[in-house]
Amino acid sequence: MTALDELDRRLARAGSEITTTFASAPAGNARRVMRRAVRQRATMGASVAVAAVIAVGAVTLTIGGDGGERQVASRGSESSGPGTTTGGTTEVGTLDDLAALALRGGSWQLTDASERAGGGDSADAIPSRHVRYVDDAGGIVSLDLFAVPAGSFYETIVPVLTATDGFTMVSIRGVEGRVEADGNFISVAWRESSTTIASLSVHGATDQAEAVAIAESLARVDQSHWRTMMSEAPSADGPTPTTIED
Amino acid sequence: MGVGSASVSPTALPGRAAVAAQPYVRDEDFVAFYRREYSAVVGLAFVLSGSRSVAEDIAQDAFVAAYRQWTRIASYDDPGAWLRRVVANRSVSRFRRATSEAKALLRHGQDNAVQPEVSVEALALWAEVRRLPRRQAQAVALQHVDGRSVREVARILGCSENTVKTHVLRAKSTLAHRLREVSE
Repeated sequence: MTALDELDRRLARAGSEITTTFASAPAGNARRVMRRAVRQRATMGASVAVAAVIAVGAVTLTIGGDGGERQVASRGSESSGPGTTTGGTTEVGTLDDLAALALRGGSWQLTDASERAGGGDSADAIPSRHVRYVDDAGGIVSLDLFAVPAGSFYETIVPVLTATDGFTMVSIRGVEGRVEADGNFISVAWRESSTTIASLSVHGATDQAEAVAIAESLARVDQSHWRTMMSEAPSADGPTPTTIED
Repeated sequence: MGVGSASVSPTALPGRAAVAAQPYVRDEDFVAFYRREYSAVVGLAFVLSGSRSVAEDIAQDAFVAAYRQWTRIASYDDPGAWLRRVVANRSVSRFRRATSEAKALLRHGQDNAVQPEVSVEALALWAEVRRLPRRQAQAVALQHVDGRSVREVARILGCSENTVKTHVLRAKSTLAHRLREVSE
């Protein structure tokens, strides 16, 4: 048997193992995928409405998405200014804090990703960091951290759809207004500098209470660490990561 | 991440017999599509990324992207081919980016990855595949995990069949050489 024959045999066997193993794996929830897609489409479609909110300081914003029209509560979308955070939510923490966050007795796994705000296949991808939580029962909670360049399309839409109180982290604790209809999605955004906005979203929680708990826990993580995480994001194939500087 | 380059025109996709005859225009169709394709694309993403959780993320992201464009993608002869191109591209890209994450995990001593029950030999072989140039790795994975023909791999990756053959030939030559080195 030649080396190539042996390799073919091993590849066939290794491929078969993968196929067999994953064939029996739980497929997850297609409906959840669909809800997430609808949220992304709604985000992309909200940019026009955002301008009106900024102008009048409306408390409620109605957006239309492919999933139907719905209301997203908002206490306004004014920026609190460069680098501003309020409410004492920036207790010093590290990645260890995040990893040790033992909701439901599970464990954290960190992965690295590049996500597009609003999703889709548009060309202007933005760098992100993806934090993934897997609990003991196999449940999954994903957290996306990303920074968007000021002045971009995303700067307009992210605050309205993700911030609960301007761009401040403290508003995480007032998250009720930001919980979407399916009760397991929360996002917050805050201004990191005069040129950059960072946003954190939580999705995949089993219910609203869990999503709130996760968001509150994350508020204790030092934002400077997040800045480091994002600034270190490699970009082998994607755009140059946004380096956040105060 | 180059998902923007992942779009596949309807005419560029192979019409797999079991898939081509089905219209995908309703949510129920997407659910069926998801259930039918999920395990295959997660397996593909796993061998290309090396992490089950990363693979699941990639698959989920790809399905989200698919649903967002479902009307268009459903009209393709083989929506699964579009999905595989997205997954293959994201897997390779994320694998590279995960390098820094792996270092962080090592630094913190807590690699909590939930890995599937695959033999050490198979894991080692796929690890070698991941060391290959990205197109070579994708071609090998699509052929040996997803069972795709050269023609189908070419359509998925958006290249010619001859290019696929070259990728596979070079990949196998490299792999055989490396495995020979290991055994000696």
